[in-house]
Amino acid sequence: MAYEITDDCVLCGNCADECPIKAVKNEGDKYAIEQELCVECGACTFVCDSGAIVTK
Amino acid sequence: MSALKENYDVIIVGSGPAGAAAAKTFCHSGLDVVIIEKCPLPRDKMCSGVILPSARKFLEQHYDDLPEHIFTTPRTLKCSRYVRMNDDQSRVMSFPALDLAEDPSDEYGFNVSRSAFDLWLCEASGAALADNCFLIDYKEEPENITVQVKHNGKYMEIKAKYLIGADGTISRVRRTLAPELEQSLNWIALYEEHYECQIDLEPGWMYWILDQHSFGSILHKGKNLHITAATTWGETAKNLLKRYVNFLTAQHGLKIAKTTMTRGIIMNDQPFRGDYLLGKGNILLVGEAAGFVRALDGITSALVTGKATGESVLQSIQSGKTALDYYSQHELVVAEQEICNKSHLKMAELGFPAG
Ligand SMILES: Cc1cc2nc3c(=O)[nH]c(=O)nc-3n(C[C@H](O)[C@H](O)[C@H](O)COP(=O)(O)OP(=O)(O)OC[C@H]3O[C@@H](n4cnc5c(N)ncnc54)[C@H](O)[C@@H]3O)c2cc1C
Repeated sequence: MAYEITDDCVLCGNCADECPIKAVKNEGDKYAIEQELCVECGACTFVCDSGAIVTK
Repeated sequence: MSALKENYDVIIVGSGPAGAAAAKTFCHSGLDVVIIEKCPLPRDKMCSGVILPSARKFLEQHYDDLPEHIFTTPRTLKCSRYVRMNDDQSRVMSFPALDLAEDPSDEYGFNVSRSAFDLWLCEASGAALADNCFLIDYKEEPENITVQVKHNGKYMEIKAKYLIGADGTISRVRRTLAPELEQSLNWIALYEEHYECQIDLEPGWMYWILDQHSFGSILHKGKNLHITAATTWGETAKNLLKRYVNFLTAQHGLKIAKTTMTRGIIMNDQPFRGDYLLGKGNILLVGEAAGFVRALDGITSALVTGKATGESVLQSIQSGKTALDYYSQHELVVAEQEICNKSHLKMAELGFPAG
């Protein structure tokens, strides 16, 4: 159940603030999930209001 | 699931065993109680789903018999065993008991599905259940606690006299209550995969893999084998799991036919530090949100402290003192702190690195 962030990201940063292990990074035009670090806990999905975090 | 009302006597955040056990104490009280849960129900929690002897006894005392549909196979677990990554013969050794909080015993545990077990516990409480309901934050006001939620995608405010944070390791109730504690927490990543496979480890036991800086578990559940890796050091949980799989392939005849599930979870070190946070006034924390996780047996801690929070709220309603006045003195809570501390020491003695 790996997650990724789509172009619907509005750069609010909620997901990065929510991730306890800092697996979400600001890449300038959107946020992105570092796949090797992410353990797919899903915490970020609850704070994303733009529906940009989807399962791959 | 229930629609939300504007006012409740008690709002419980989280539909795990802590929230469910708290809710059950209000069963015949006539109080208006809701459990809010951010996930759709039934929700699965990444967990081995082993009901250890202490939890089994608590359930026997306080609940009807566990229904058949919550069990997986093998239905009971005899005890736990371990292998060490640095043992070149990779011998399978025995632990003295499943339950680290108890003295050595041959007491058995149950092998269950957490999604079915947790939902059954919640339903047994008789409380209203609102799923897809994410607590964002809350404010204390003179008469009420105002709770902001996102329910089915809509932002709303609901009010209660008492708020019980049973929201697990990433607890928003705890975060607002004690930002300094939150800043100090260290996070542990866990990752697991489920396989259709062969392995030369006999079903019916809980197996642990002990490594220098990490540990993992191996458990037969239904048609699948679950392998879980927990890391506190530089290595990623995903990489650690790969190492466990390579080790088990080389040493224990693991042959994977199919990977049926991958998932992970985050925990923090509050339980290992014994840094319990019980709450403030009429806002209480319970189970893992409060830091109560007996070593390898978080369900018992959640059930026991859940019962204590509920009873404390009932006493507070009668007397006008705060719920925390009762909860902090509650005999189950005082005892649980000692039991948790003791179990973590025991875990370290047995060679678990995270202890
Ligand atoms: C890999 C692993 C294996 C384990 N194996 C075992 C085992 O075999 N036996 C055992 O006894 N213990 C085990 N544990 C420990 C056990 O799973 C936990 O200690 C236990 O689930 C804690 O119960 P709880 O009710 O406090 O929290 P949880 O069960 O985590 O429930 C918290 C609930 O709150 C919800 N929630 C969180 N935030 C919000 C929010 N903002 N708004 C609304 N809802 C929210 C969550 O979705 C969740 O449903 C294991 C733990 C891990 C990580």
